[in-house]
Amino acid sequence: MKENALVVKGLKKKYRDFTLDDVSFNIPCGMIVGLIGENGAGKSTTINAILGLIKKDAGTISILGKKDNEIDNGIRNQIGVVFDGSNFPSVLSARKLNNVLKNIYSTWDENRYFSLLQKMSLPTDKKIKEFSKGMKMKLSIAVALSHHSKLLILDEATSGLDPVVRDDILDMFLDFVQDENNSILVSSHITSDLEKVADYIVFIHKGKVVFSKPKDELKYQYGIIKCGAAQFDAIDKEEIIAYRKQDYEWEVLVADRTAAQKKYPKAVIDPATIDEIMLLYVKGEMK
Amino acid sequence: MKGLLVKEFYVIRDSLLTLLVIFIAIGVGLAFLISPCVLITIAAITLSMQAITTIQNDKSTQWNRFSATLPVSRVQVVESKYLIYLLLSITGIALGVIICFIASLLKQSFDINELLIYFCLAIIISLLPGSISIPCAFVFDQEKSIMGTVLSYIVTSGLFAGLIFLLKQFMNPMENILAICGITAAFSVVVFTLSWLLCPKRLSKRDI
Repeated sequence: MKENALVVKGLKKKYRDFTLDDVSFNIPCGMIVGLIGENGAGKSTTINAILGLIKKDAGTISILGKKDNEIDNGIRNQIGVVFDGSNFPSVLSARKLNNVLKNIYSTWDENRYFSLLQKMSLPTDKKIKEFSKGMKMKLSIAVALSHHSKLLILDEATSGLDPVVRDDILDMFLDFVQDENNSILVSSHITSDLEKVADYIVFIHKGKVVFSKPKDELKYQYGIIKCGAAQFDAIDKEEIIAYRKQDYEWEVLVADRTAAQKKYPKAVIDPATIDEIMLLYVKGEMK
Repeated sequence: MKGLLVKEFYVIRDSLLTLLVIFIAIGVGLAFLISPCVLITIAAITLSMQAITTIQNDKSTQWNRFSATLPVSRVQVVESKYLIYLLLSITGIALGVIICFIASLLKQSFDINELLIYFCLAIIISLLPGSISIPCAFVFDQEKSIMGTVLSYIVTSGLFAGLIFLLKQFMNPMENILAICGITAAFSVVVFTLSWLLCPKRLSKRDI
């Protein structure tokens, strides 16, 4: 069994108008875990709690084998973090940023940083405030990859970027996990990106984990039955995960579309995308 | 800590031209109107305020969040702001003294007593507000933080006036103005040190 790079257990954080409730999931080493959910579902709160930016009310977090109260600079050196937008003072250039970070990360690899900048076609002497959003994001990722990180934590790293830049960034993620000691937690509401790269999907809705499953299980086993009212009535309610009524048909989410196809041979059962699964959970009704 | 200070150095260096314009615009007029020694306080305020500005900049660029994930403790992140504030205050005072000295020589009106009074005033007007405005800048958003900074100068003026009122009972303030400034400067150093010792731990525990 693989070791876990990150273990989140029973994480709770209460705000006046929002509660992160009993969030638990793992990131096995060498895997990419996608954290999905609508805006305000609790993805960023979860990431902030993991990174220690907010104080949790309950629960335990272990990163690279160390519990949260044992996380020292040695572990922090191995965590690469990318937030949405820019993370760095806008008056700095990539070269000056190197001078700053080489004095902070004991594992900073200057050669790797500059080779990544070159690979990403990022200028070294231009101020960050003159960078486009995509360039800022690439710079953040270059930084995260330049101190021999073992765990990357990315909060909405691909949002607001054009498909070409997003694809470049996703390729970098896949390169990173070629080393089985490396892992990634990436939160996004662009589920198509996660469909490309994630090994596991953790779905958070209203502060709770709805499911934490291998992506392939969702992709190859889940299905959506599209049917009329009569056929909907005939479906065994135990098999329904969620459903919703559209204008002319019912959409029913089932966990095993092969079994459902055998049981209801006349029904049209399509493979479910992560987007559709999320939509049915959020907007549909539960059995 | 070194990396954090290097970052502050780059950020402050970027705004040096603006600072110079502010310093010349305010300083030259006041130096002629009041005394060249007033440049010591103006230089100290102008430079030390940059440390407060960097705290707000950190928030707007998300560096405050990013720096909390770096292999430095959050206490050190806050302490670096106190350190940079102190270094900038000292630099401002030193620069002010040099410029004041040169200006006094040019005007052929050097008064050591006046220089010492303004030297003490510069310590008061940089360290005492700093001990309030640094924590305010961490706790509040930009708008409230500006109010905190304004408040810190009001508190400083109030304390200074209060001290003069108190000492009036025992001595003639105008005859002992250097002593009063010296006592208040020492008090400012104590308050700033207390703020530095007490606030970083508390501020580092706050949610970002």
